[in-house]
Amino acid sequence: MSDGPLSRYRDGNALLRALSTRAGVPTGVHLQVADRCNHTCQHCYQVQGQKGELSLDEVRRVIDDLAAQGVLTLNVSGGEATLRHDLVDILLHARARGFAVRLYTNAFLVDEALADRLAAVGLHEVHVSLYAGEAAEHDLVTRVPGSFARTVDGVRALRARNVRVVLKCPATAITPGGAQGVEQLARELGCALRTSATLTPREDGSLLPLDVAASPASLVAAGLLTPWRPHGSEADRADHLASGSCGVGRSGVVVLPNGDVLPCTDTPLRLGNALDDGLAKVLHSDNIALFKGLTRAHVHGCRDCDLVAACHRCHATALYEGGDYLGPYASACAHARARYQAAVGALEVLSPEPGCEPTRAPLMGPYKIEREGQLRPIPDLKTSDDEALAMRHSWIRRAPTPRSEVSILPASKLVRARSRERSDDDGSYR
Amino acid sequence: MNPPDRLRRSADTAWRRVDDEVAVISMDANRIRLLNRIGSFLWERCEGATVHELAEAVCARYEVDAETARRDVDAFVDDLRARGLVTLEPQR
Repeated sequence: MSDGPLSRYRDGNALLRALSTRAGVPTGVHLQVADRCNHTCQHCYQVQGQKGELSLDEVRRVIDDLAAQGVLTLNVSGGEATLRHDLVDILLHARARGFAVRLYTNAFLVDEALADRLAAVGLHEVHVSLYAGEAAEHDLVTRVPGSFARTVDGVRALRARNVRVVLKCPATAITPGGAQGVEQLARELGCALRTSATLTPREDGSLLPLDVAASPASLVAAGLLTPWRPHGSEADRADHLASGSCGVGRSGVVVLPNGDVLPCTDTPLRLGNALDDGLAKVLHSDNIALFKGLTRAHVHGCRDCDLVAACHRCHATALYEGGDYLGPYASACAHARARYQAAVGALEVLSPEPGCEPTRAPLMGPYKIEREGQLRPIPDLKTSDDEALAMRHSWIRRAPTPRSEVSILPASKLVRARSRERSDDDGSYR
Repeated sequence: MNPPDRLRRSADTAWRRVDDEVAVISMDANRIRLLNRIGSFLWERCEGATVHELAEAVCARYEVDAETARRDVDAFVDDLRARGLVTLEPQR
């Protein structure tokens, strides 16, 4: 035992990703327990009220199955999870099964009594969405007057009980000072802060959330997109391309309120149902195999781009925005350009190289850096392997969602086959 | 003579065996640690066990003499206690 039986990794998330890859099952699961919300946030990716919810007993069975599969961390969310009267029972069950449990909530309903009960659960963290440091901006996002005051009261109640709280603040165009305001509030309340620069399309494919996305220039100004310039060797680039851009379907999956399992909150591929199919089958299905080996080298165009290391792509956004889960898309290119421009100053996008697709959006990559501050679009080359992958997984290519189109999936695609009726006794669905 | 103290995992931990290793999350410290093969062997058996019982389990499972096993288990338990992952509690 001289080699140190207890080692600590500097980056716990990297450790969990490595463990997931080695074990071939996700170590983290996002468990949505409520198909409803008391806010109507302008940027939200969810479509509420069309999936149905599992009963308390069914949720417990899913949690038991997740434990049996070796999942270690459980993020319990909604919709708004606190709308379930049996939420604390769910959380207690998860703790009893040995999970490190995070609760995702807007804290609107967290009063002193609920804070007492949540503190007694032994949660790892509570993640609370807060969009600005003052009421007018926050309430503009949630479209619920008074939501800022109640959310902050909820956070104070949790902190008074020594519950660790992480404030989460995605940047939007309607909250220009949001991140700075929330950062100050986080300091005052003793919370951690997590900001993000990107929004994702709605789960029905609509790009409406992106209409309120902050501009790349404002993200740079707020420090949410950091300056980047090429560095490192060819070997570094090869390592980067050999890694995954996120943990979709590999280190994590999502269980929807009706038990359906997706590779992530945004990827529109139903892997199966946790109750009907069982997680052992779902987590080892043919469908999920694609994600276990997915790397940046699978993304055509981007793998040839000189800005690939500056890019924080989301495959699901690529599907809706650009029509290809494993291809370039304009908003990611804009963010990468902004990071490069922030480092080099003036930036010029030259005329495309011969062979570039005539249908490509203006300014979009992939690029080569002609000289510092000059980008030239290069052809988006697809190989026979790319085409074979797209043939095997036909869902990874589709017509891009037209911008500003209000698209609602047919109910048949969202409603669970087994209908659930609301029970009168405990507010959950059976 | 009082009976030896018994180990209790901290209520503040979450853990799973993943493949052949145990990952332990200390929620209060917001840290995750990975135990090696023998550390994982001990962690899975430590709840309610005495240090002596753990050392015996190591001897039974691995080719190691009693003195070395006891010394290594002592060191391992001290490390876990220092990190707040386990406590030693008197038997009632």
